Amino acid sequence: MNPGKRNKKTGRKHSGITHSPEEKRNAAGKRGRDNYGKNTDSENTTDRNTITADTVTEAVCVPGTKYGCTRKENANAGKPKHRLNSCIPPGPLKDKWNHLASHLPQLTPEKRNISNIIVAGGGLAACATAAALAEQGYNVRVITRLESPRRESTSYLRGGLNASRNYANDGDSDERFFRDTMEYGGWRSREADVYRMVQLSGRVLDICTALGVPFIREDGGLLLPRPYPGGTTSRSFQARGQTGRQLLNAFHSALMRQTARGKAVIYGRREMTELVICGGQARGLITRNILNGSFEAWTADAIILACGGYSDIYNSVPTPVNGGINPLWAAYRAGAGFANPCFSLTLNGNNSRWQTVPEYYNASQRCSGGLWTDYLLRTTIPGLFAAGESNFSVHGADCMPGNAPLQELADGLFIIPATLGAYLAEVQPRPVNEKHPAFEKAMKHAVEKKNRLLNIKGRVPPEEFHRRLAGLMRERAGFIRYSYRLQQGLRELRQLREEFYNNVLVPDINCCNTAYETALKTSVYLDFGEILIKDAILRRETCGAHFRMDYSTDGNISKPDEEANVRVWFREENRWHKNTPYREGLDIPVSEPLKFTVRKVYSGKDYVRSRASAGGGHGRNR
Amino acid sequence: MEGTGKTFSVQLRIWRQSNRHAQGHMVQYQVTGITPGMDFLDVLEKLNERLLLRGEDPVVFEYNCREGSCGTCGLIINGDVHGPGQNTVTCRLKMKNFNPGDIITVEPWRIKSFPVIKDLAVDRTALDRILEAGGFISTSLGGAPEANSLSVPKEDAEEALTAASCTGCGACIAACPNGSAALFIAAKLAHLSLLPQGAPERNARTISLVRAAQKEGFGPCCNNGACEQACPRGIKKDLIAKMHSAWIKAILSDR
Ligand SMILES: Cc1cc2nc3c(=O)[nH]c(=O)nc-3n(C[C@H](O)[C@H](O)[C@H](O)COP(=O)(O)OP(=O)(O)OC[C@H]3O[C@@H](n4cnc5c(N)ncnc54)[C@H](O)[C@@H]3O)c2cc1C
Ligand code: SF4
Ligand code: FES
Repeated sequence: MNPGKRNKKTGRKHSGITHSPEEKRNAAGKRGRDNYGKNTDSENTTDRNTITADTVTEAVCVPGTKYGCTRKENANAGKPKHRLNSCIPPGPLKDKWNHLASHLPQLTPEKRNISNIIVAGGGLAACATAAALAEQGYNVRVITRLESPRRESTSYLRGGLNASRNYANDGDSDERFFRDTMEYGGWRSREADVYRMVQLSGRVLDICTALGVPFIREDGGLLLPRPYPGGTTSRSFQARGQTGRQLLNAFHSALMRQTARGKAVIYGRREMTELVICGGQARGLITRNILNGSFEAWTADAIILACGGYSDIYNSVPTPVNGGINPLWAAYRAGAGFANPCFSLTLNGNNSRWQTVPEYYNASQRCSGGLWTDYLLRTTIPGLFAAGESNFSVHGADCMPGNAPLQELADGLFIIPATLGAYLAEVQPRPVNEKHPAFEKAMKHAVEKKNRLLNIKGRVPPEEFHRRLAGLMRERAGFIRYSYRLQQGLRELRQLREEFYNNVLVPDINCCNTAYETALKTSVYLDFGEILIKDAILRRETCGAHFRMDYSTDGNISKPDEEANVRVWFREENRWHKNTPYREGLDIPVSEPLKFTVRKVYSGKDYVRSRASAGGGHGRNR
Repeated sequence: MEGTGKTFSVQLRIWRQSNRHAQGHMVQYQVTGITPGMDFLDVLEKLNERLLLRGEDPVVFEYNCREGSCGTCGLIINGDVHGPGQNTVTCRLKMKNFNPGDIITVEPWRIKSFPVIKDLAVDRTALDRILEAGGFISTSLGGAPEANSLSVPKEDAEEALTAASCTGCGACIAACPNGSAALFIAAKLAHLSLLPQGAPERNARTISLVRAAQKEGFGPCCNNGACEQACPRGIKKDLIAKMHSAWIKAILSDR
């Protein structure tokens, strides 16, 4: 079948990959049933215990935001819950961002001067966002767990920073970089988001250089990009195996410049535990002060989460010990959609993901899933934005070495500064203060959670539970996944949760209570693990770092485009189910279908082949 | 030795201090079940789990990456900054460096400008305040000249990179008898001043960083080279000499 040709029955475009009849039969045989004894052919079944409909979504915008949506879509704004619209602007791929960026409404400098923004997190994305916003005049507070952003986990990144500058004259271009990235992510990213990241890569590189990142240079003094493992072009700009440290230093210094101007303030050693929603908008946080154990309330006009990912659930070393699960989960509980939680492992610098399974396959270094964001990096909660690893924006595409820091910087330097102003200009948040009942409620929840953990007074240290959970996740929901093992994992997870709530031992210490932090994190991971596993069960395909053995064809990617979707989870609080004890809510999956306009439309390979055969003879040998 | 399955025990003498203002003291604990391949920090974790079960306060110590890149960890072990050996880092210290039955003394960085938070954790925000005084290149983030419009001699770029590899762990300061931050500042100045992007602000930066360090209470450089030996990133003390001459130049041109 020709690529792109429509299948008569389904009306779907064919992927261009043909399956042999036998492959098809195998796949069909494995599909029929799952351990719940339910027919798994339709996407509608997740879990017998928590029956949920995988509603295919209608387009809808978050209230008060119209850019990029058609009028009809906008008319639906704010109606039923759990609807998604990625708000991708119309027009050709390469014009989308420029067009949107030049048409977004903006705040006047005076208004920016009186707007208060909170950036939660302190890694590369957070530093870049905070510095860029403070430079525009916003009053920025950076709230992070560690003492200084310089110690954040971005410093572990060794690889490089990608930019499609074609300095090496090896045929690189935005277009090629874009396609490589899409391939790497198994065509599970939104093409508009990826294209925008690629387009911004050159400017990101310029700014890094101007800030003094000492990239490797040639004898002549110009930059020397390197090929990334497995790639064909040299587009990775490196700093001798410590690119992350150098990028972090550079953007930390840019942030320091803003703190010196008084436009940004860093509040270190504070752990965000709750997100506060007032009048439907994200208006504040509750943090726990690590130094004295007290809970603090913070108000803001808008909040940006740049708190990293959740790879700590696998506890592999080196992994960010303070992964950002608490803020992500707080946002999720408050109503933000969580996209593709099952994409959680990526293999840094490993080009042979599909062919062989490397020994260190469980080293989780970057989570591709994260808070669902639209094209403007807005989550489903108005006023809450997500940047860097915390969002899923370039989901999958960030598996490609060197794209992670690029995404962090593109989000932080260019995208959020443009879209945040538009949000504030349109919504014009009214002042709130910590006396608002929503703050009191969130504070109460934080304190209750703490007391609940302290009062268990069991016999097992929290770290032990974290280790066991990580072992379970690696074993059952690691890189290689089978339906039955995932199901088993879910049952074990629930057992472990029960045991945790009966037997964890948390000391009552105010200053630096590491055991409490571990207990809190573990309790959240025990809830989060559930959607990770369920999401992995639902994703019946092999793609990205999700290797479903029961849906792969001879160790290779299987039917990659038929189910191209983003699966987004929503939580309904305070709905209990007897089979999921110790959980506070119910998780509902929703899908955002992905549409590709460029996939296989232009294939350079076909072009070369047709020329070769037309020329006669030698070309055929290949 | 590894893999023989034999375990041993050591005595840890640990500095316990309940908060910034409290009086600290050493407490000795025995830890058993150690293998030579274990990380030193794992032993502390092991101790902590036992303390927790006994209802005692666990020992507070910090780490993050456990692979030497973030600069969070840092202990004085048997009087050595970052433990025995030169240019090491605490999180990579293995137990094979110790013998069964050893008494190992563990203390926090002991510097006035790094107040103890609790037990072995110290507050190193003073280093950030030094950087705030001018440890950056003033450039706006909207756009910059094309990266390759600027040519940097390869050697300078390499040297800048070596200097820039500082993680801000503070070991150089902990090792210095004067508690001087000279190596830390010299590394930052070298990094930014070697690059043409950072050259315009060179003099002002030199003056403000050195003054900020004085203000934070860090001592003067005594030139004994302990910093160089302690630095896990292998940053050399000749950068300090360069900093001194840059300082003189800056002061003269400031007139
Ligand atoms: C070992 C390792 C190697 C890697 N190598 C590469 C590579 O070679 N190439 C590549 O492209 N990518 C690599 N990555 C991935 C890349 O480093 C990360 O994806 C990227 O640094 C994430 O940046 P970020 O700013 O989004 O988040 P982070 O740098 O993780 O920062 C998030 C911050 O939020 C803070 N935070 C978390 N929870 C809270 C809370 N409750 N309250 C307040 N603050 C909180 C944390 O302290 C953290 O500093 C690697 C990752 C690891 C772990
Ligand atoms: S110069 Fe070396 S020892 Fe001093 S703070 Fe930097 S990395 Fe640590
Ligand atoms: S823990 Fe990161 S350097 Fe030691």
